[in-house]
Amino acid sequence: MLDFIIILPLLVVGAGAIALMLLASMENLSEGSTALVSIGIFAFAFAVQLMVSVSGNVAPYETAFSGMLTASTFTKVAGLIILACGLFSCMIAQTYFTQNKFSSPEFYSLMMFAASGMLLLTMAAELITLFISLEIMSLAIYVLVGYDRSRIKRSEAVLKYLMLGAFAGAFFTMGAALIYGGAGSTRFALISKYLATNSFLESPVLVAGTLLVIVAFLFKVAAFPFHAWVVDVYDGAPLPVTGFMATGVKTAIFAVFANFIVLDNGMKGVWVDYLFYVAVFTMFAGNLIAIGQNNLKRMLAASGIVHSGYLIIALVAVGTENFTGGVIIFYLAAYAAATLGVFTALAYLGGTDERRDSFDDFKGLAKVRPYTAAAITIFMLSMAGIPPTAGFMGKFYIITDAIRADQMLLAVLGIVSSILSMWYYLRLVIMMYFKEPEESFEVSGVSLAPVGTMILAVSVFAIGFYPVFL
Amino acid sequence: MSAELVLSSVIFFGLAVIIPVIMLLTAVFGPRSGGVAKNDAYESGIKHVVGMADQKFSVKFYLLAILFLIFDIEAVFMYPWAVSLRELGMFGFLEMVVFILLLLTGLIYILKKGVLNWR
Repeated sequence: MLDFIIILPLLVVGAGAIALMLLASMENLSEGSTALVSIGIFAFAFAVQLMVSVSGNVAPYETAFSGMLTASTFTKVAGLIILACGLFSCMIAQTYFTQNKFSSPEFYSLMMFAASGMLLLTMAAELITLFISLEIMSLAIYVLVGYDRSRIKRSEAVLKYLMLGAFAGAFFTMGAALIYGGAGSTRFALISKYLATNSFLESPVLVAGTLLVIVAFLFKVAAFPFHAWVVDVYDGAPLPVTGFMATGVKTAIFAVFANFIVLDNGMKGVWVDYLFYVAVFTMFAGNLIAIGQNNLKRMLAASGIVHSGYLIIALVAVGTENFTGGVIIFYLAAYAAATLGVFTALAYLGGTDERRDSFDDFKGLAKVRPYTAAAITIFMLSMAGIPPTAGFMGKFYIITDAIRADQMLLAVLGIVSSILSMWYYLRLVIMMYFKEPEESFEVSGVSLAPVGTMILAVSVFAIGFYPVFL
Repeated sequence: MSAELVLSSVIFFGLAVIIPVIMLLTAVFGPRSGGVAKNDAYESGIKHVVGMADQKFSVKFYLLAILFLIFDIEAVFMYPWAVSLRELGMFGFLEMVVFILLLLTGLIYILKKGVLNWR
């Protein structure tokens, strides 16, 4: 029964998605009620996940579904973050669709399908399961990115994402096949057992296989050599989808990336040197791209690259013995709260067809809507890493972890990158507070997103106070 | 004459004489139809085969093809399952029931959406 308990949240979301899909085909559902129902399903799944986490069943690599899935505190908290991301993305969508008219109930259904794929991805302990869950997630996200078919920018985004995503999927499959050829199993537990007795570098097939798998992961988290798609795709995707992609997908991929990299000390030892450079280049390339942006969504996309860089530092520093992943999951939670916070605010400020999207459009927001401006400032400070926000604590844990793992240079570069990133985060704050307003920022329609903004603004502080035991 | 020789002569006779004669007779006596549609190249749903490539064309064929593909691939999954059903036992049976039920929901969805109506 333990097997089914650990996938219970996944079953809730999956069943909810199917039920909503069938209901949408039979009844004429209104946009508002669909949004509320899907928020309810996500909230329920979150509660279930919380109960599963508290109940404390931990399934190591060997047990659940004959080694297909794993469950640890790490994966369970990742699941919690993903479900929270889904919940807030539905709030964003509800508000967004009061101003943009291309919604249908299937949008929410796809959101839940993507979430179920992500949940499965966090728990995957076997390469084929990993591939299937990766595709469940990606296919739903591809459709969501291109949901608004009337605008050419969306089509551009979906084409780029689909093509490159398919490449990444192919890389992953090839890597999985090579690992199977080298280690004789697709299950993490058995690969780990094989590597414990055989040296990693002796088998070129395994080296090539793990390289390809890591490339696929790096693509999905938009790390340095594979980051070019992210700005256009995040900009082109509808706002709720961008928020969900930036947070949910990243959480899921980093969870499984960490599970994969800690398989074997020898294997990690080989890739750490490469991940070191990937982390450095990811941070600085992301910063350079972000500094040049005038569009807020593009800036957030580029800052997502930088945050991937910090998370890769955490991966470099992670120990294969007694892996807990507390640092990674803490940073992901902090990042998700701040990013989704900005997106909830953009959902009601953006206006029809995302009219307000550049830094200049938010001139003087603080004088017209002081609470929203304060909330956005909190999110920006959290992303920049200013105490006492969650973003600061997340960076603090990552840097201390890097120093503990004798990666002093990486720690220093991480701090430098963090200082550089202030430029574009504080630019928005300056626009909001030190310029005169040029418009009245009218918001039409009843919406849930302001509630989400306030909840997230509080949780940015709340998460910061939660201690992580390294 | 051996039996093989008789047989091969008959086959040769059929190949060399009867089939050409039948083809000739069909060409002379067979019913004929003509017209623009007949001379067009057949391409699923694409009306103008010659011309600019950025024309609009019907997605009906595409939808049918992709639905066929989905349900066809699902059938492929059932063969290895059927072969090893005895070893898999009740658990394997239930797994397949779940799988087919999920498929069924997909079928209900496309039926209700009217994808299979040829409009």
